[in-house]
Amino acid sequence: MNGRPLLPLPRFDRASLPVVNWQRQRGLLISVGVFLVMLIILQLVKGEGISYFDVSSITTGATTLALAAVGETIVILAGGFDLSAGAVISLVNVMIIQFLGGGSEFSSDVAALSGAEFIGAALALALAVGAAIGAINGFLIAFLGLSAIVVTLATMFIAQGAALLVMTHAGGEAPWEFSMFFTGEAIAGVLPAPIIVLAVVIVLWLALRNSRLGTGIYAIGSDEKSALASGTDVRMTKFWTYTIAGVCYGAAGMFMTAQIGAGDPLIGAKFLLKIFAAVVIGGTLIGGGRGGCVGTVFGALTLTIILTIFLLLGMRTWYVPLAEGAILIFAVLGLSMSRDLPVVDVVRGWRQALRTRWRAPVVPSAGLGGAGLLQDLLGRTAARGGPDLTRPTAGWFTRNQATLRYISPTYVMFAVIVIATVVLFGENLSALEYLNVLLLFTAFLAILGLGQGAVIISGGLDLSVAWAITFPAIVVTTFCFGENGPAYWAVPLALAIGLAIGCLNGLMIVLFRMSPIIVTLAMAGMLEGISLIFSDGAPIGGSPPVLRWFVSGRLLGIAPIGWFLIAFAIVATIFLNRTAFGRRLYTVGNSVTVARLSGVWTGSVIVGAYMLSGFCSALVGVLLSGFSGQAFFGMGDPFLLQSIAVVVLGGTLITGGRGHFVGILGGALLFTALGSLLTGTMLPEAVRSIIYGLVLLGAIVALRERADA
Amino acid sequence: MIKRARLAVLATAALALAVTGIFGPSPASAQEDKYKVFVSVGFEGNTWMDAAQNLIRSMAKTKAFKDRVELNMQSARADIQTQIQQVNAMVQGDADIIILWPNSRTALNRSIRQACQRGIIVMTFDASVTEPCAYHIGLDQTWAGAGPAEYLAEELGGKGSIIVMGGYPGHYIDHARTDGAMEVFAAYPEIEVLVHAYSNWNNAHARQELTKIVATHGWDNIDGLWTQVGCYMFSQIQVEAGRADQLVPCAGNGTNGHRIAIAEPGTVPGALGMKSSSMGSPNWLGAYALKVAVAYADGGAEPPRFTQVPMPLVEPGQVVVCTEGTREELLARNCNTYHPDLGVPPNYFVDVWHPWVSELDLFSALEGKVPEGQ
Repeated sequence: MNGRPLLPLPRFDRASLPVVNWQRQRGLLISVGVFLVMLIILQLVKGEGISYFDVSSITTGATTLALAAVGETIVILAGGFDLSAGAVISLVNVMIIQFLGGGSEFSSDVAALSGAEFIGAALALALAVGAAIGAINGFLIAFLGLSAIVVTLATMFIAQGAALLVMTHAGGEAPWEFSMFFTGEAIAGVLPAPIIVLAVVIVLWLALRNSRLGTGIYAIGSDEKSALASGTDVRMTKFWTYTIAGVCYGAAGMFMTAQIGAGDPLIGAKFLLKIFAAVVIGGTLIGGGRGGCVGTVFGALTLTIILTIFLLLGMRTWYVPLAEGAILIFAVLGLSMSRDLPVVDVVRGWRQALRTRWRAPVVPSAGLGGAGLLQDLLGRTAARGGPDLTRPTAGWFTRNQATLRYISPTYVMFAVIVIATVVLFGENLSALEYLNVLLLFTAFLAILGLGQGAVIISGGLDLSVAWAITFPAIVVTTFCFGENGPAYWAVPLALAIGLAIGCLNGLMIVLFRMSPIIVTLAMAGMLEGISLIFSDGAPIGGSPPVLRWFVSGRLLGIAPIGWFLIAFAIVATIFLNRTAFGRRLYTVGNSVTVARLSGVWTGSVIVGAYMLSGFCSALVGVLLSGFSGQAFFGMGDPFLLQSIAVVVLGGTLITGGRGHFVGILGGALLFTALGSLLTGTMLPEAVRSIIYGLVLLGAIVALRERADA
Repeated sequence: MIKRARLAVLATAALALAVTGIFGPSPASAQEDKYKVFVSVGFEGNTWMDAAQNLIRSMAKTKAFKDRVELNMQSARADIQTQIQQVNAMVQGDADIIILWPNSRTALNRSIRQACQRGIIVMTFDASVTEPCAYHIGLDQTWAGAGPAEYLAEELGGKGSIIVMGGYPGHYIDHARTDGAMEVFAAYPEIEVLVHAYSNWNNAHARQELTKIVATHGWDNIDGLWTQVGCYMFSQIQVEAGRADQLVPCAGNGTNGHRIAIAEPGTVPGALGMKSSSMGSPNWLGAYALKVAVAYADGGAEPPRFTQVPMPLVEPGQVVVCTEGTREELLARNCNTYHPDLGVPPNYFVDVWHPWVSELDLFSALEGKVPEGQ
């Protein structure tokens, strides 16, 4: 590659030319391509040409997202996952304002520090706080071997709570010089400062990538075992990955502070999903090993430009989430498009079938053609689901020892919390009411847990849960409008919508080999748009009385939903552990390749898992509308992270392959009991959030040793 | 490795070229006789914001504004960062007037200041920002918490155990209202706040939280409710629990169902005679902001930085039910509640009208219609 010709004769030497492996660079190329297309569209929409001010405003708008997404990219390249980004941004923002700035109490006093001092102090504080949280994440994940999703979910709760402790509400002010240093102009009228920030980040990233650590990050992301075998210090690499990511989030929080010039403890909320979008549009493969931060920066710029284009087009906001979802899907489609995608086989099958039919219309079986192939691909579930050849002879305890070990900690913690509740509220606590509340909210979480659990056991993740709850709920309440009459078709319709949502998710994931995170994320966005259009701006109407009775009425002392939960738990346990589908789920989650080789058609199992999740979400939406009497936008929002937390608390391995519904049920009970206990107290929300985080961490530490077993 | 780096550097260089090369200077915006008005609301999807948006649209379609205003309405979908970008894009889009329902009290400050520096009139309605160059139209949020609290304290005779159900933790409006209420309660030493929970301004969430509270504390130990959403829903929970005859007094933000529940039984279907105070959250502020901004842009007097609007507080005996919802009826009766037959759902925030926006009527809020002759 550095081949200077040895002979004096000029000679064509292929090696001296930059050889670009286009296939490997496709992610970056597509992200730059999408960016340029969006830039051209913006130019056309503007009509009068893009001005310096536009460039400055777009880069300023994109830099916070870019910085945070660069951190996330590094984690994802290493095969990890980090949910703490948004909360770290909030925490850094309020710490800078509260500790260095004029404080939050409605005053706009500017700090006593001079501009330059403030810049230095803010930079140091932001990077230190980010690094500290990142290091905690890294330590727990790398050295204690804990699940990245749960650890970062817990630090997210804790950092969010800490942000609310530092500053109870928005306020304060940062010095103007600080804002201008990062968001102003580097060279007046020529170069906006954010471009310098982005350039510095890209240079630092290139340095990291070409370092030993950088090689290690790609290596463990590609294949952890091979990396270990070839001498990579996997633990240290992971630790540094999360720490560096934390530094990036800290930098993002600082830039955000410069951009807004004030503090707001909620500033980082809602950031997370956009970070993932930027990472994926930037061409990084979720799951690790491929991609890079340069693409991520372009991904962030693209997302920012899209918003500007929508605004200038005057597009009705109802259609914006739909359009964003579609762009996300197509960008990823561009990344994953290749000749060996399963969908290519299906299309080829159809084409062949058409041709066969054209030439030999007499052959009766040809009519099945493509459809048959699709069925074959998805439906051939290898009838031999696996008869139990080895009849266990040992006792029940011995056989289930491993399962019991990862399920029991949750139930122990649940019992502790129930006892604490009884001690605390003893006199006023009505046992029957308390039982009812436990059953009611556990039902919501346990149903969601089955769906999310199935998806996680199969090795995926469903982020569309929140809107797969809300949209069916809106459908039921709009059609029923408080009457029982239409319920007999509206409720099945809502559940069918849930199945369809899951089916679409699954098909896109299987046929186009797209990342589950991005597919379900885009699905959530599209469902939001569809909900707005369907409800004509705001959902009105009400749930049928029969649903309200089902959730709030009484049947033999407790709400009917309580009895339903008991039946549901039995069915779900049997479904996951005693049916062919359930067993295949675990097989696929353990190893897709092994599953395929042993005759399981992995596609159908994965589609099935997402359909189950869609169905469960819709069911919760329907029940929730019965509980509230109405449907609301945002009614599903709190359930997304809760569904993941419950599944993991129940001992399910987030990387797939292990889990038990009894465990998930325990997770749901624990979460509900904790929520009831905390809600009944006078603790500030900040402290509640921190307690949630600590309980999550405690549970995952208790489950730790079992993770290796 | 190096090659990949080289490619990345090339790409960056190409971008730099694009940045300096393609983008010419922005020509002065073409002078048109229509004002470019951009609206960004923080969220979308509940009846409050739906009505607020419909009212702004209706106002822009009235005779006085039809040919003078070009309206472009956006929603930030509950995301702060999106709204910052929207305001920046509005400035890029050569706005004359920007009307905001901000998602954050502070996060838009820099963007708003840039807009002001370009001579754009920036108005906020209902929720405010700390940036002083913006003009705000809204309630005194502290009072919006204190007013209902005062009613509740007096209704309880200055003693009892109450539940405080806030809005969104960390949000300025929640903070101001809760502070206002807590200050009132502090003046009554025999009033004890049992639980401070959060509704996230979401009825479903509020109901979940209240259900948990009732399980651990029991209805018999709760004497009153101060809440930022859902007095109507709380009354329904109690009716379902068979406690319709002993409804706990509730003070909070009001919907049509809430107002009807306050009305004397028999006067209107659904009336319960509930002991309750309903603080209204005016939906018409955005439409009024449009009027004020256009008048100022036309060369009128500068509006005050904060136009404080009177708070509609409806207590028992003050419910005025409209049966037509037309301009004529509204002007004549100044009603604060609508008959269910008009198609107003119980969860509808009904303070949609005020003499300051007398061009409009109930159907402007419900369907975005402009009254005949306006």
